[in-house]
Amino acid sequence: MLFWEYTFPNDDSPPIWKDTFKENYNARGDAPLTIGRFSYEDLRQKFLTGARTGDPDVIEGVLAHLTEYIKAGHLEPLDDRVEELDYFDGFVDSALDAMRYQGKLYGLPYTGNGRALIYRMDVLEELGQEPPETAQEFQEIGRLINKEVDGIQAYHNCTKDGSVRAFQEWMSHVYQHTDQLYVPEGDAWALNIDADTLGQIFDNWYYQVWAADEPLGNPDQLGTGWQVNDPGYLNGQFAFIECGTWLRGWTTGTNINDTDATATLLNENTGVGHLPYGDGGSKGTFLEVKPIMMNSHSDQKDAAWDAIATFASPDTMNAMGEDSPGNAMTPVHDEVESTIDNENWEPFVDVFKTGRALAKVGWGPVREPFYRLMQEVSYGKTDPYKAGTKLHEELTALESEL
Amino acid sequence: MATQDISSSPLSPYVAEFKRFVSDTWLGYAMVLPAVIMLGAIIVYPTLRGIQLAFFEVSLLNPEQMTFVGLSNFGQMLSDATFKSALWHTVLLTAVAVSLQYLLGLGLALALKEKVPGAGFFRSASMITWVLPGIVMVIIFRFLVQPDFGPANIVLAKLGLETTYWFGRPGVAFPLIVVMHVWRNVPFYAIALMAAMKSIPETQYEAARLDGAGPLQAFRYITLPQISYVSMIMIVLHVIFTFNNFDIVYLSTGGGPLGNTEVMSTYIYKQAFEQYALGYGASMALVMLIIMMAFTVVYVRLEARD
Amino acid sequence: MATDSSTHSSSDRSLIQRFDAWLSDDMSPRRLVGVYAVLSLYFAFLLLPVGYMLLVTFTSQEFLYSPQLIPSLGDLTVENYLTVLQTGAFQGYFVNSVVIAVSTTTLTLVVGTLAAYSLSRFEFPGRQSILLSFLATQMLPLVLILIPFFLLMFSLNLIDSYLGIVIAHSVGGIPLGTWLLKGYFDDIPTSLDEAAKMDGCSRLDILWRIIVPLSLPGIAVAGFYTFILSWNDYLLVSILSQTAATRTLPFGLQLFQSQNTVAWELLLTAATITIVPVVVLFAFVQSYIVEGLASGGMKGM
Repeated sequence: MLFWEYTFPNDDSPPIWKDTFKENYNARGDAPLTIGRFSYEDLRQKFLTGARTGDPDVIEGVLAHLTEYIKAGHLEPLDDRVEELDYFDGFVDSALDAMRYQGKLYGLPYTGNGRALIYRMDVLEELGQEPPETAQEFQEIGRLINKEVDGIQAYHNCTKDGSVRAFQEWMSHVYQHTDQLYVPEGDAWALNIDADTLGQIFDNWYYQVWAADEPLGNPDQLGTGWQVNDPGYLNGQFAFIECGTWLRGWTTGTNINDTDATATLLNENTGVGHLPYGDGGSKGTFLEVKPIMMNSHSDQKDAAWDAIATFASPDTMNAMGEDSPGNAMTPVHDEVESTIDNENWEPFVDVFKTGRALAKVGWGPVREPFYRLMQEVSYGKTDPYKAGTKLHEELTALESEL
Repeated sequence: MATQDISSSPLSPYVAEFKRFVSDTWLGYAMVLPAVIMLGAIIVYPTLRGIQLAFFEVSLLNPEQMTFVGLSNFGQMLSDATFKSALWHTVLLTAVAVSLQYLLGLGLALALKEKVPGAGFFRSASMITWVLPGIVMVIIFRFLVQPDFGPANIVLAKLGLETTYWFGRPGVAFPLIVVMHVWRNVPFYAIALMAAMKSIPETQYEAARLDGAGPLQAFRYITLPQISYVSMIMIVLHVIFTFNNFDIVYLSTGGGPLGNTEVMSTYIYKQAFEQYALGYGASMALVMLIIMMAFTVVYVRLEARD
Repeated sequence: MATDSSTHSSSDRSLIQRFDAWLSDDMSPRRLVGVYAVLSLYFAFLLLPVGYMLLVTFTSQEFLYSPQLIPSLGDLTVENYLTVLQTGAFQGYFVNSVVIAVSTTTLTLVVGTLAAYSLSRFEFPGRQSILLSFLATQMLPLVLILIPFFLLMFSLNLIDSYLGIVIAHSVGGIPLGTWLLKGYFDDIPTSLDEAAKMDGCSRLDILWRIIVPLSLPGIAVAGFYTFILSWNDYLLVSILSQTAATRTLPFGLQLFQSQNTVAWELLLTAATITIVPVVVLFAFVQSYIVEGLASGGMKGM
C-alpha cells in the first residue's frame, strides 16, 4: 500500500506524529505501508500522469489538487465508508464541505487555517496606530511605517511567477468581494466578480505595494515568494504579512537569524487580525483545508481506507498538533485540541470561520493569466484597472472550459 | 580478405566468401540489435504517440477522450503571443549561449594547450562545472543572488550598488540563464577543441614559421581548418541541448519574471500540466523537433561543402 | 632557455632555472604571463561560485545568513556535513545513485561497444541509417514524449525500480556512447583485424582482444559521459521514482527544502556531496578523456 504525502517534516522536529500514524494504522490494517514524500508540485504532476496505474493508493494534497483529481476521475468517493467512523460527526462543517463535489465526499480533512493579517504590535504601538481594517487605512499606516520607522519595511507579499502562495493571497482578497470567483450555472460555470473589483484588488495589493510612488514593499524583493515572505517577517524585516497559522511555531532552524529574537517577536509582538478589505468588500479570506484522498484506480481500497481513517483520526491529529503546533491552531475536528497558547493569536479562530474554500473548478487555466497580469501590475508595466479589465475578459473566456 | 585458403574446387572460394558474407552480416546485425531494440522500444513508441497527439485535442484530465482536429493546433500557435515569445527566447538563448560558449571555449582551449606549469591542474579543474548536475548549478546560482545573504548581493551592497533577487528582475533574469548555460559548457568545448588542436602535428606550425607566418596567420590557416570538424560536432550537439533544455529555466525562474525567460520547453510543460492541453503541447514540441532536424541537416550540409 | 638568468642573485637562480626548465623552448615570459592571465580570468569565472559554495558549507548557519562575505576562523564548522551525512534518507539516495549510475554505465558500455563494433567493422544494409537514427534520438524534446513514456514504462512494469531507471538512462547514453566508440574503433587499422583473423581469432575474439584494449581511452570517455548523464539526471528519475527506494541524489536534494523553508546550509552541503563522486571520478579519467577526445572520439560519422 503506497501513500504519497508532503506533510511529515523532513528532519529537525521529532516524528512523533508519523510514528503515531503508523501505530494507529498497524492497529487497524495489516497491508504493509510505504510512504513516499514529494513536493506538492511533484505530487500533483505525478498523480495526474500516473494515477491510472493504481499507485499511489492514498494521496495527501491541497484543495486545488482535489478538484483536478476529481475531474480526471482519479478519486474514490468516501461517502459509504465514512459511515463506520465513530468520529465522523466531529469534523468542522466548512472543512468537510470543502471536500464535497456534486454531493459526494472525496477526502477527509486533517488540517486547516485561514489567511490572516499578521502585524507587529510593537510597531503599531510606537506610532499610536490601531490595526487597519480597510485597505486605505492599511496603506496609510504602511506608508507611515516606511517613513517613520527605521530598519523595517511595511509589507511584503508574494509576486513570484507560478507561486502557489501568490495565488492564495490573491484569492484571499477576491473572497473579500465575492463568495466564489466562479459559480455553477447550469452545466457550466459563470464568473462572479466584475472587472472594476479585479482592478481594485490589483491596485490595493500589487500596484500600491510594488509599483506606486512610495511603495509599501521593498522593490528589491519584487518577484520573490514565501522564501522571502515568511523568514523576512520572522527575522523582523516586515511590519505586515499575510499568513496562516504555521508561522507560530517557527522559531528555529533554517532561515532564522536569531532564535530568541524570533521567539520574542512571535510571543509578544505579533498580532493577528482579519485581512484589510477595499471599497465594497467585507471580511473574507482563503480557507486552506488539506485533504487526504483515495485513488479510484487503487487495487487495495480497503487498506487505503485504513490509512485515510487513521491519518484523519483525532488521535493522529492531536499528535500532529504536538509536533507542529501551526497545523492544529484551528483544528478541523472537535476532538482535536487547539494549540493556541497565546491570546494574541486567538483571532485566527474567527479568521478561520470567514474562510472560503476554492470552488470545484480546474484552477490551472485561471492561474496563468493571474500570474501574468499580477506581474505586469507589480512591475509597473500595466495600469491596475486595465489589468483588471483584461483579467475579467480572460476569466470570462474560460467559463466554458472549466 | 580471407581468400588465401587453398581449395580443391574452383568454386569454393566464392562459396566461402558467400558464407562469410552471410555470417558476417548476420553477426553484424546481432551485435547492433540490443542497442536498436532498447532505443526502439523505449523511444519509438512514445515519440510516435507524441506526434499523434499533436493532431488531436486531448485534456490531461481525460486523456482517453481524443478529438481529431487536424492542423488546428498549429493554427492556434500563429495567434498565441506567448508561443511566439517563447520561440524567440529559445532561439535567442540558443544563438547567444552557443556563440559565447564557442568563443570562450576556443580561448580557453588556446590557453590550456600551452605547456605551462600547472596546465594539468587547470585541465582537470576546468571540467568541474560541466560535471555538476543541472540542479546543483541552479542551486548555486540561486544562492549567489539571494537578497541579504547571497554573496553577489553582499558585494553589490558593499560597492553601494543596487541589490535584489536577480532572477526576479526583468532584463537580468534572461542574461543570467545565458550565463548559466555558458558557465556549464565552456569547459567541454575547451577540452574538445584543445584535444583537436593537440592532434595537429607541430611540424605544420614550424613550416609556417619558416615561411614567415605570424601566430595569427598560423591560427587562421592551420589551427582553424583542422578543428572545424570538432567545432561542428560541438556546435550541433550544444544547439540541440540548449534548444531542448528544460531543467535550467524550470528550476531557476520557472519562465518568469513577466514571462521574460519563458522558453519552448517550459511553455509546453505548462500547457500540458497547468492548462491540461496535451495536444497543443505536443504540437509545439513537434515544431521544436522539426526546427532542430532542419537546423542539423542544413548545418551539416553547409559544413560538408566547405 | 628562454630567459637570461645571469643577472639574478644566486639564491634565486636555482629556483628560476628550475622553473625555466619546466617551460618549453618557445615559451617566452611574456607569453607565460599572458597564458596565466587568461587562465586566471576563466577560472575565477568558472570556479569562484563552486569554491564559494564549498566554503560556506563549512561555516555556521549564522554566518551563512549574515551579510558577510569572508568567514572568520570561529565561523568554521563541519556540522553541516555531519547533519547531512547522518540523514538516513540522504544515505539511501546516495546508494541509489551509485547503484544506478554504475549499472547504467556497465549496460551502456556493453551494448554500445557491441553496436559500435558492428557499425565500424561490418558492412550490412541499413548501417548508415541506424547511425543516423541513433543521432536523431538526441533531438527529441523530452517534453514531447514525457507522458507516453511514463505509460509505456508502466505497462513494462518498470516504474519505481532500479531496472527501469537504468534502462531509461542507458537509452539516453547509448546513442552518443556508441557514436564516440565507433569513432574510436574506426581509428584502429583494419590490418590488425586481418592479422588476428589469420591467427584464427573469431570476430568476437578480435573485439575483445584487440579492439577493446586499444580503445581504453575511448571507452573511458564513453563510460564517463554515461556515468555523468545517469548521476546528474533529474527529469527521468522524477517521473519514474515513486518512493525513497529508487530516488537518486539530484531529485533527493529537495529533502532539504520543504513547503515553507529552504535550508540553504544543508542544501548546499548536500549539493557539494552530490558532486564529489563525479569530480573524483573525473580526476582519475581526465587524461584518458583528453586523449580519447583527441584521438578520434569525435570522428564517428
